Amino acid sequence: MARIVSSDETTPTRYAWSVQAEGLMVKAGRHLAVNGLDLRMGVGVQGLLGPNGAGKTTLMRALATIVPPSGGDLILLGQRMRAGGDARTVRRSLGYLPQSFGYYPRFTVREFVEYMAWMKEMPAREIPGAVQRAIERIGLADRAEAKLKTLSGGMLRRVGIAQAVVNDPQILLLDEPTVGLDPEQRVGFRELLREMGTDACVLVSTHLVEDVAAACTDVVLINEGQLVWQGSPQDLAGAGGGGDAGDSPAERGYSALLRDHRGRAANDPQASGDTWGTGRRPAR
Amino acid sequence: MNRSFRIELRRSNALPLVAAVLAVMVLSDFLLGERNSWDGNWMKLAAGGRSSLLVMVVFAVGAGAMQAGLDYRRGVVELFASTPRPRRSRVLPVALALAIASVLAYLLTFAIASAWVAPYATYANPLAIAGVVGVGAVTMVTAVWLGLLAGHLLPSRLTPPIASVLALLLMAVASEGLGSLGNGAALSLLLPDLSPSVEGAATVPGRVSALQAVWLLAVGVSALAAFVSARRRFRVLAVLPAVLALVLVAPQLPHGQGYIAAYTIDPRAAELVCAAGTPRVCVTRVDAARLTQVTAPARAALTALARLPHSPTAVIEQPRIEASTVKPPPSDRGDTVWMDLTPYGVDRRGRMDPEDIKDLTVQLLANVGVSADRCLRTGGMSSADFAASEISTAWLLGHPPTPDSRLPAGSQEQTRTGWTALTSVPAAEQRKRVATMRKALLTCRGDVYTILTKGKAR
Amino acid sequence: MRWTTLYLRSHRLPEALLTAALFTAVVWALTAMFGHHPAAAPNLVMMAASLAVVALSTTLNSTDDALDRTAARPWPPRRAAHLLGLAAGASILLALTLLTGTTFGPFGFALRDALGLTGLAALGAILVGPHRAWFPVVAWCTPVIFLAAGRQQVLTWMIQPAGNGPAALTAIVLAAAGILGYAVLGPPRRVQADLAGAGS
Repeated sequence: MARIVSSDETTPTRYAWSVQAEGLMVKAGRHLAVNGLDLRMGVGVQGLLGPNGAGKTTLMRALATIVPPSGGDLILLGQRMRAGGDARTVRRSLGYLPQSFGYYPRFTVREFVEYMAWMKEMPAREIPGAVQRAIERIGLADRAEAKLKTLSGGMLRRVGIAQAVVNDPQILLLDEPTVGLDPEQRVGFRELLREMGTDACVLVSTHLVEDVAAACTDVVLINEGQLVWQGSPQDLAGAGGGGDAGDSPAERGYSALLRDHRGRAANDPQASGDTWGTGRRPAR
Repeated sequence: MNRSFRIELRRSNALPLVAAVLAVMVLSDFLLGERNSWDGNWMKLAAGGRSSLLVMVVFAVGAGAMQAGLDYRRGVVELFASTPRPRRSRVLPVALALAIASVLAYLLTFAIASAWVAPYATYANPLAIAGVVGVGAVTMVTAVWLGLLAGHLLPSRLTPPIASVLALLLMAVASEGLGSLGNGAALSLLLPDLSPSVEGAATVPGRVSALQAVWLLAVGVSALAAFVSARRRFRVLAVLPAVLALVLVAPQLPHGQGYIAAYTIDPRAAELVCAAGTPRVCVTRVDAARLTQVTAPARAALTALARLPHSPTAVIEQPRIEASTVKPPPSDRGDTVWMDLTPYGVDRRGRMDPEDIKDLTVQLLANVGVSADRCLRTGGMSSADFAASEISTAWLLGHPPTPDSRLPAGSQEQTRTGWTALTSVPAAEQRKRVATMRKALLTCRGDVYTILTKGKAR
Repeated sequence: MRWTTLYLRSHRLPEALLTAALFTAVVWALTAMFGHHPAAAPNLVMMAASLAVVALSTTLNSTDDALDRTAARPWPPRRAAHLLGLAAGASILLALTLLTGTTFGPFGFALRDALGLTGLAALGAILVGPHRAWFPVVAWCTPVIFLAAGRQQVLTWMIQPAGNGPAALTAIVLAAAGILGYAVLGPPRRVQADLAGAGS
């Protein structure tokens, strides 16, 4: 569906990377969850992988400008993020789906997406069209007037995706977006990702490695708040071998890369029986 | 802004608030109320509305607190934090919607209750009434905004119930407590509660209403400013309007004992409306609906008093603010009996109780038609004075005094012996003694019980 | 015992108890400063009782009703015990003032109010959910604050003197209906979203 493109969007950008982090440090409470992360992301779909507690959600929150960095540099769309600074310009081009997606149950789908569009300071005349497009893209056009409390978990997740993309953001952050989606919907979602990835920087944080392998152009692997590896899904699959844990090449690659990273930190945790990747030796 | 405002109005607590307040107010009136008619008096109704703020404010604070905590309970805080729209732009429509709802609830309650006043009211001072009702409306807005602030600062499920009951506590206890703080009585006018037990001719001057409105609005504005600001530094600054208003307004408020200090006599309400024919029977304009009902008993009292020389020729209602002592005007030389209609109410059909009408004649004849407050003595009336009044009234009515258990025991005994003493002398002497008693009361000299029983002023 | 501790913690008893105790103390302090008698006015005792009951009634909120419903052990006796504990807690807080110079009593009065208001909160929990259980308590106590005891003994049961028959009966009926009703029926089934922030 065609839409009118503003001159803002056709002017060439003056920055090299949509997201640029150097030695980024972000606190989650008192714990330094992101600890010296160097990252560069441009247009395309990036998959964010890592064990639990690696700092993925904290990173997402920092990129969504919810949490200011406590150290290092974070530059989004050419603008440096700072505690006490004004992130409004960046936020207008931002789309975010948090892991625990909250909503107003008595709003209808359309009302909620409209409300979020208004919250993102979209020009009023563009909102109805953008909302309709977003709702159609996620496949809930027939339920646009249904109240959110009547929807299933998967449908709610899709509404969350709709509100994230309604303003055609330049940075799209999706934290566990495929939770509750059935396999058919996941395929549709990957299609949407690819579409968004043609002119936006999309970061998808997920545990479903095959989603990453199928839809992403780039994979970012982080552990303990630091960048472990960044490369293409093919390189990820190639990093693993027969001896690594996993049921697919991508999973094997993931385990291999983590093991290597941990091996650089401590001696041979794999041999000590640390199959769950906790970093701790099991009791004998 | 417009569309989100309309959505907020529909989806927020605004409508449930209005419904809840109306339901509770109407139910309380029917189930718990005493069929209040406010005596067909607009000012009494307006003051009654102010004191019922006690109930309505509780709901306003609760609704505000619940609304403010909604974002936390729905888990949207994180999502909204990633959007560019500043907090004030988002929450201002909510605050506005709730403010409108709470004012609406208040005005609707007033409108419903005025159905019992409008048919029988004979006087209205629109400006004063608007002032009193206006301050009430401002209070509702301030209450709801304070509730919003409380719910925002403490987004726990405990906040709405605790805040509501605390609001109730504040209004109920503090106004009493402040009023009893001696010279601090002006402080009690900082709270919006107005005593409804004021009487007909009372009015609240526009200046007092304006001062109260300014102060309460400043508190509301401070609460709103703190609620909409995203940073702590601005929240702290938000207290300035309230502090400024307090400093400016508090010294200007009238001093006196409690909220009665807010009232003055409305000169137009105190104008006299008189019945046709003689002798003259007049009531204040505000009580004019009762004129036809009081004329007969008043003239009966004058007829009874006509047995005495220099008897009074008119019965006039004296305007007063509250049902307490009021001295007759200085120009009074005894040819008027001053009437006090405050003990006698009017039902919702505008009718006085027949028992009250009978009691009116007795009231007018008490102390031989002389106002008891004329010679305000320290210690008030002694039991002998009460007895003397009982005896003289009985004499004027032509039958022995009926025992009245409301009098102190000593009085009842003195009444019996005094009546025997009076009726034991010839009729001419009785008349002379009662006339002397009246003269003594008019000049404030002489012991009236001795006059009746012994005939001399000693 | 461990189960009880965990249950109470999951229902946020410490916060609720602390709040109830704190605000009972606030009302007590205000009464001591501004009240005129050693025995507090019945309206103030009612206010203190309603504060304690609404604060403690927030413990009826559980974070996940659906999960609770799958429990193997029967809920009714536990819910009844919860409510009885609620009433006991409120009564104890009020009874503590009997040790001081300003009393919220007599004890019969405080007990009746605590029991009756708990029953009312339980009825509220059945009808509109535990997170709004305080609605009927506040809605009923608020207009009554205006009035003096004497008329309407059933409708103003909270402020009637301790020995009053109709008032005691009303409180017992409310308590029985509320406690039995909530024990048997439990809270109404709630929408997903309401539970999202149920802990806050």
